[in-house]
Amino acid sequence: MIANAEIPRSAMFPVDAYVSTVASSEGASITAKFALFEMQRKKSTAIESNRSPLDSELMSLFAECSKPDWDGYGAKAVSRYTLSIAMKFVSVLPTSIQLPEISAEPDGAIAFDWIVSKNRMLSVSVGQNDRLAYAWLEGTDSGRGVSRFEMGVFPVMLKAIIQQICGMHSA
Amino acid sequence: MLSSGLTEVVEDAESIVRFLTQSGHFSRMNGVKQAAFMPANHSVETSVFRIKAQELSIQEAWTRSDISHGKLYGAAHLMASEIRELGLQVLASEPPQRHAVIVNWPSNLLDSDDEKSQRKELALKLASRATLLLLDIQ
Repeated sequence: MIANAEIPRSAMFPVDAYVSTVASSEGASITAKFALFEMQRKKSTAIESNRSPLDSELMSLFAECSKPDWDGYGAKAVSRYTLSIAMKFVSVLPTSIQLPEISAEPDGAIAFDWIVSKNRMLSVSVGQNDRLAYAWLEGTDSGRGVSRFEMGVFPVMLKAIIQQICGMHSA
Repeated sequence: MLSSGLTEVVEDAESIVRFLTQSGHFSRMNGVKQAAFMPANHSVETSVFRIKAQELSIQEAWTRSDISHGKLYGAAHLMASEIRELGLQVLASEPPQRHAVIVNWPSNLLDSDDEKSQRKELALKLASRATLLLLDIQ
């Protein structure tokens, strides 16, 4: 379940209550935004039930890597804050995308890896801020970038790249 | 000549291993993951060891290293030439004996996330080229 603390209070009001009382166009716009947010929240909750294996893997990873030098090479500890961002990332993973593998990185970030084969893979790093560093490999081609991760929304470009690497069509 | 008996210059044909101390840094199905090669935050090097299969096993090299207090799952194996082809460099760095470092990682002091993505791209290529050597331990 998504903790209520992570949901803006505004999104917790019944959307239907607004629909019947809005008269102005501005109000209608706000209502639409509430409705959209509520739909996304419900969708996220539904998705999460399919993503729960990743949540438990994240907890295991955190237990293993939350102390400095967890790799013997001087790695930085994975923080509770990074864990929370990673869990939010998992909660908005589109259902059309296959589940990634996860690992801790020496700088304390959590990597989400989609590995199709040795020459076809993509890795996204979730760290302490709202920017996701990623890189991909597809045969002899490769690329990289940084996407902004706004809570509740999976980056569109990243989704397209993952689908490309995983050989999936847009859903 | 270094105290290990190895040459000061790492030759292209030398076997290089990165010890795998995390179960999440490899999978039996997909091999080595990029995270195994990433340098620590703002670090400029990745620690590796020079090993010649005929004269030193992974386990022996591990025992002689200074990181052997943790758990060893296996190693990611590459030839030095495969690392250099990516624009990275392998330099001897003893002690401990046989220790070396992968250097020339991209740096961007103005944007650490951009720097991270550049390093990830190279780490993916290293992972793609690496051979996974697993020890039979649980």
